[in-house]
Amino acid sequence: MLKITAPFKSKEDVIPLIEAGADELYCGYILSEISKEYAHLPVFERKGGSTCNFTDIKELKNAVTLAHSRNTPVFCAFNGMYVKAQYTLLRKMIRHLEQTDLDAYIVADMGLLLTLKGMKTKKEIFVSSFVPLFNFEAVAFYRNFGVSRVILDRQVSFETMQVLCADFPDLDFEAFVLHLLCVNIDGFCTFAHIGATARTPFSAAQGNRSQADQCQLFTTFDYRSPGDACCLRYSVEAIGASSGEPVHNGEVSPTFFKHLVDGVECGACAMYDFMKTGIKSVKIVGRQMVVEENIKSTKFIKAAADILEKNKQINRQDYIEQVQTLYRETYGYKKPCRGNNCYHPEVLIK
Amino acid sequence: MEQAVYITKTSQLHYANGQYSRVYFGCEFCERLIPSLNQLKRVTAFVRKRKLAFSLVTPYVTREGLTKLKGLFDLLKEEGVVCEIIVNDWGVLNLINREYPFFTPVLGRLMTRQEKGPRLARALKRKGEAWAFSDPKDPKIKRFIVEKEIPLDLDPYYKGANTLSVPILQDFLIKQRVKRIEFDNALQGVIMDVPKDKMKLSVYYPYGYITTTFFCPTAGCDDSPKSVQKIKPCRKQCQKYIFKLRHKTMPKILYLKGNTHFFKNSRLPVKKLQDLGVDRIVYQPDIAV
Repeated sequence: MLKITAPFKSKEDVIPLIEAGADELYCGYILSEISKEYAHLPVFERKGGSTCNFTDIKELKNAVTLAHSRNTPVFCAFNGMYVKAQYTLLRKMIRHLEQTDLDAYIVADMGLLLTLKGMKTKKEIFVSSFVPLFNFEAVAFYRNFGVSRVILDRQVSFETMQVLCADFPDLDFEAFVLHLLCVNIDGFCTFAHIGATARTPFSAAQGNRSQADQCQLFTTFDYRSPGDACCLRYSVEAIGASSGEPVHNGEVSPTFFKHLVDGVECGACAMYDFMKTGIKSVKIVGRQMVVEENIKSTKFIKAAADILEKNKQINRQDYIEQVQTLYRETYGYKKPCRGNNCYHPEVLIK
Repeated sequence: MEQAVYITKTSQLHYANGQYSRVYFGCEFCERLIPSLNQLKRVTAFVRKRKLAFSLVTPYVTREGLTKLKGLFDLLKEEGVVCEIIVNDWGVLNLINREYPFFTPVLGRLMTRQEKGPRLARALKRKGEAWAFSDPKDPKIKRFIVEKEIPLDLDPYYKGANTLSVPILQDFLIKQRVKRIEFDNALQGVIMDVPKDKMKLSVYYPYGYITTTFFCPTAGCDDSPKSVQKIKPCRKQCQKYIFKLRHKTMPKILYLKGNTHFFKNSRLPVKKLQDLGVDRIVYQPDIAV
C-alpha cells in the first residue's frame, strides 16, 4: 500500500489531514525573524514566509506530538541551497528542531546534510527532490550518508523508478503525485522566484479607511514580473542553429508545459505503475495552499489508493478510468485529462 | 588566466585555435548527446597532436547515459589520456572516484547552485519603483504596486552559491578529489569565498544556463500535430534550431536550445574574477548543446 505524504503548516491541520487519509506529514520551519525580514523570499526554504512554514517551534513541537499520538510521522523540509552567510541562522533552526520529536529532515543541500551528520542528529535524513538523482551511482553516493529515503524528481521515469527500487531494497523511494508540476528539473533550475505580490489593505498602510474600498496596495520585489519566469507566455523566434537566420516556418515551435490555470496537475493514474515499480510513498505538494485544499487532495489520493488496495487484480485501464472520474468529481474538471495536466502522460496512451 | 574552448561536436574543432590551451568536449545537458567513441577518438587525437589539455564534459544521466559514459571513460583509459572529467551528476563523481581514479574530477556548473534567472539582476538593482493604475475591470478601483527592495544582506545568497562559499562543503569536495569548481558569469555578479590555495575556479562565457529538463521542449518542435507527451522521441531538433524567447518582463532574451534555457552575458569582469580566484575561462563559441 502506498503511503500518502501530505503537507501541513499548523497544529490545527494535523488531525483533519490524518482523518483524510494522510499516512505521513511534512512541513517547513523557518525562524520568525527570517519570516519577518524576508517575507515571500524563498531564501531559507523554497516556499518562503510564514504562510507556508511553521515559525513557532513550540507549535511545531505540539503538532509533532499530536501527529505521533495518531502514529503519524512528521518530516521537516529543507529544500533551500545555503551559502555561508546563512549558516548561523540555519544552525539555530536545526538546534530548535533537534529539540522536537520530528522524525526526519528532508534535505536538498549537501552542505546542510554534512552539517546534520556533523551534529550527529538521530533523526532520519531523506534526500529532497531538489537533489537530482537519476541513476544507481548517484543514489549509492547518497546512501553512504545513511539516508533512508529518496524523494525522486518529478521527471524520473517509471523505468528508472523500477531500477532504483530494485537496486536499493533498503531505501524507500517517494514520488510526487499532485499539484505544481514543474517541468524543469528542480535540482538544476536556477530561475529566481521573487515576484510574489502581497496585497496590503490600503487603510492599514495609509491610515485612511475611507479610501480602502477604492484603493488596493500591493507590494512586490519586482513589480514588472507578475508570474514565475518559467510560466510566462514568451514570444518565440526560431532561428537556424547553424545559419543563425530566422526560420520562417510557423510550425516550428517548442512545446512548453506550464502550470495549469484550469485544473490540478495530477499523477494519480500513475499510482498503478508506482505500485509495480516499488515506490513506497506518494507526495502531495501544497504547503502554500489552504488546509481545505490539502484535505481535499489527501482524500482524493486516498480514494485512488483505496481502489488499488480493494481490488488488487484491477487492470490498469479500469483503474485509470475510475481515477479520472474521481478527479473530475473532486476538482470539478469538465474536460478529458490532457497530457499537460498530467505528471506521467505516458499512462494516457491506451 | 587559462583559456579553454568548449565544443560539443567534432565539427567545431576549428574553434580550438592557438588562442586556447584546453579543449572542453561533450555535453552537460542531455545524455542523448553524449559523444560516440569515434567522436571522442577524433577529439583526443586532435588535442594530442596540438598538445592541448583536455576536459571531457558529462551530463546528468540515467542508467543509459551512465553506460555510455563508462564506454568513454574506458576508451580514455585505454588510450592513456590524462584529462579532467567535468561532472554534473553525483553518480558520475562516485563512479570516477571508485573505478577511474586517474581522471581528475571537476565540479561542473550544474552542481554549483547559483540563482541565475535574468530578472534577478534587475531586482538586485533595488530601484524601489512604485506604480499606480486603475483596475482594468473597474476603473473606480485604484491599484498601487510598490516595489520592495531586496535586503542588502541577501546579496551573498543571490550572488553566491553553496559550493562557492560553504567550508564544510568545500572540504568534502576536496576529499572527493574535486579541486576545481565551475560556475556561470551571472548577470547580477558573483560573490564567492573559496580557499584559493585548495580550490581552483572556472567561469563559463558568454552563455549561462538557467534551467534544464528531461521534458525537452524542442523534441518534436517541427512535428505536426505536436505530441502531448512530455518525453518524446528525439530527432535531435536541438541541432537544427535555437529559439529566442522574449517577454516584456524579462530584461534579457532567453535562448532555448534543446532542453535547456540560457542567457547571454557578454560582460566578463576578468580582473575582478581573477582576484576572486578564477584562473580559467571556458569560452563557448556556440550555445553548448
